[in-house]
Amino acid sequence: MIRLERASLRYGDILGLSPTSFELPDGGGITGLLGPNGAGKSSLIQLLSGLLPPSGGEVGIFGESPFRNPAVLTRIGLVPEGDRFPVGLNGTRWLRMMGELSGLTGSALDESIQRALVAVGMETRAQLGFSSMSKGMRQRIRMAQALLHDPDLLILDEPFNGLDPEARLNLMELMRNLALGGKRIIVSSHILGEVAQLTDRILLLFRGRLLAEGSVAEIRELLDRHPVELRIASEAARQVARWAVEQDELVALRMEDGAAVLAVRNPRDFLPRLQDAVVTGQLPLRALDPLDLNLDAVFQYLTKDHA
Amino acid sequence: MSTHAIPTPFQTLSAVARGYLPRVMQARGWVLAALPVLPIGLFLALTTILKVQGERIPPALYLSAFHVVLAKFMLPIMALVAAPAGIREDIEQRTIPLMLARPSTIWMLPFGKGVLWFGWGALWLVVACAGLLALGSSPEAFFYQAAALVLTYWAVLAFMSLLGLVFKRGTLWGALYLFIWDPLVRIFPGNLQRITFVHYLESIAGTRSTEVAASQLLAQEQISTPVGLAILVLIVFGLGCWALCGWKLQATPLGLAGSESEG
Amino acid sequence: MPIYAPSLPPRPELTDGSHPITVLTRFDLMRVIKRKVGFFIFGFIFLTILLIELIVLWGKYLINTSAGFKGFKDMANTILTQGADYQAGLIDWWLLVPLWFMMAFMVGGLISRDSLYRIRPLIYAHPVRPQDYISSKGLTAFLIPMVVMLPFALVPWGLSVAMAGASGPIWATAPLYLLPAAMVIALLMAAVTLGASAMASSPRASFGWVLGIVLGTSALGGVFTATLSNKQWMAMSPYFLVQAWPQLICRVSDPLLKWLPTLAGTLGHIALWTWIAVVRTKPSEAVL
Repeated sequence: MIRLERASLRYGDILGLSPTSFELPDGGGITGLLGPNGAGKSSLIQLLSGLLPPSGGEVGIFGESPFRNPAVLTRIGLVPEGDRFPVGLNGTRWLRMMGELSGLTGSALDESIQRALVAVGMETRAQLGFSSMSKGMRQRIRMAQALLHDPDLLILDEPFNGLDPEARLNLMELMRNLALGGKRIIVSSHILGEVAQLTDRILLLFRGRLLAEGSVAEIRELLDRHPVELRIASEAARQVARWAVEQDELVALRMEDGAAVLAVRNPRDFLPRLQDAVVTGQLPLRALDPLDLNLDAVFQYLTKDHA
Repeated sequence: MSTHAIPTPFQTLSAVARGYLPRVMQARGWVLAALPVLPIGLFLALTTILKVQGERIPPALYLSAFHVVLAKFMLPIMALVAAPAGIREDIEQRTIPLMLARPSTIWMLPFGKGVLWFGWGALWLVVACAGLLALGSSPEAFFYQAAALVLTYWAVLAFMSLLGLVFKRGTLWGALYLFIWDPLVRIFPGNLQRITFVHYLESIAGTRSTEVAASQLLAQEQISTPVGLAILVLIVFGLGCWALCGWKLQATPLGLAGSESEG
Repeated sequence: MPIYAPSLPPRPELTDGSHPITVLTRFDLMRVIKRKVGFFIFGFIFLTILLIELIVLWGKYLINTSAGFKGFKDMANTILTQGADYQAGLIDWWLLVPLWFMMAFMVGGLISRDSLYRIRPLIYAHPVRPQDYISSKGLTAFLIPMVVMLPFALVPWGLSVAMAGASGPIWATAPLYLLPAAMVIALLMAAVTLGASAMASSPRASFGWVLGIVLGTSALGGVFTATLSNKQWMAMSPYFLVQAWPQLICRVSDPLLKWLPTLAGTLGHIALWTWIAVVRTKPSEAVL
């Protein structure tokens, strides 16, 4: 369905995306594009959505190059980043134009607009002008335009920016339902927690390079290769430290005020033993803070290695 | 799998023109309408006052209104007002990626927006020309004057839109062309006059502006182009510019940031 | 945890450092000068015009002094302007039209750029009064056309004096006429450009506003002139006013406009556009 073969993108002298290869199979599902600002997420999205041709390599969507290719574009829905809309238009009219530009006409167009507006919860407010809409409402309209033509591939660039928590949850729910219905969704974000809640597969980008690819669990496996920091608060921090130095996984240890900070490998093996020690009263534990046992940690480790 | 038809060039044109229709009814559209109509309204008001006071109305006042006001000032200003509202506006507002990511006929997008602003401007140019009838113009002159203004507006708007797509500072180049090149070169010898818009405008209108005094030193006998040929030149030139606009947009990769990649 | 007293440096006195007008003007001048494309385009245009003026001056000198050009003398005197017309022609429409474009393109963004990027609230958060702000903008907008016109008022004159002293083609006293004219022109251009810039929402829009005001008032003047058969109505337009000033001050025999309409038009435009610029840049307008 989606195949990149050493696809790269340059902006003049600046390399937006290094030669990148990956493949996403047919069928529904959500893929997260993760990376900090400037990692190359938008570059990749512009290649996938056919806005820009690759500077090198090949991009294949549904077996064809998407750049200026109506046969491919008719199956793609794009929600770009940013809060830009044509001045002086209202939501309904703009959606109508976007639908017509996707080949929809007559009653099919009316039904598509209605269906898309219902999906994003804007069926009663779409006739407002863009200048009268809140940022969240405009984001929903932007989502609606991408759903209008029932695309097989939905590409969303930072879709949660500016949304309140409820709208975020609604959007996540919508994306999950679409994915269950057989749509392939690619969603970019630099907030790892958002993607972790949503996706079954992530592509990790950093400084224009694809660092890692896999499911969240697979990415977490990478964690085992790197030491993870745990802060164990205890009235007997020295006792905790004594216990810790006997463990094979310990890499580093430092003492803080009323706590021991351990750096350990293979937390999956280490944590159950720590749990046993606490339960049996061997270790008086007040609090356990996994300082970096989440996707952020994966990200930090991987990017640190490549920085 | 979605199985929508790919829109034809005409469907693209229709979608864009109808989609942006409300824009001409907003501030910029009314400014565009006022540009030709207000001065003619002022002419009519002043002549009415003069008539009431029993004063003499200057002869051939409609020719001054046509050449000095409409052709020399208002038509170029109209093009400067309308052209940036075309596809250039979508590029500057960065809304163009949303259109480019659709399976529409991309080369038709500039014309789709341009034809809307052309139609609206042309309508008010004709209304302004109708006002010239009250200033003493004849129905026959009205036909040629309206045709001259509308067709020149067609060509100038297309030219300005093209400059806006080719250059970052297209408005500056367009303004320099219209307000320096055109008035200067129209009095140059022989066929050089044919590379100005005003030459064709005057050839179709059948009358000339007498204002060449600023450059008497350079002033040459002005040549004419047959009306039919002048009409053809303006139509073809306009079509050519729109075609180049379409080609430019089709061939230029425009990303989300509005910048071009190396491709 | 101890809380330490702030260790910020003492607040400077309002009298310390440069005056805000100086600081802002210097900043704006550098910003305008750094616009390389505009600098190149208009620099090329003005240098070409100056070169043509110097060539004409050289030609006039040769025609009047060289025996070899005796045969051309009568013809040359017919086609080239003479006397007061020639002095006034050193700052004529062919310099002033590109100068309007330059003002629209390079100076038009002085206020509108601040509006677009919401800079004014940040400026007013410092000890800068609205009159400091508008004065600095006015000074910048005045200095730039002045700097462009100065060579036209002085270089041909210097060449003429160097070639033939007081009997050269250009009057020995020409700068006494041309410099005041240039100052009035610069003042009028600055006022119109700032007013337009204050009304526009972006530098690009300012370009349109400046040209719109200049050309729109010209068209308006044209309507009155044609209908009332009196060309003094052209004094409604800054485009014609700036052309009239060198002619009036150099006392050409048939100036474009007479003294009274020129004075009234100039004062009217300066007052109107300055007022608009002041009103539109008041702190109340500068909300984040």
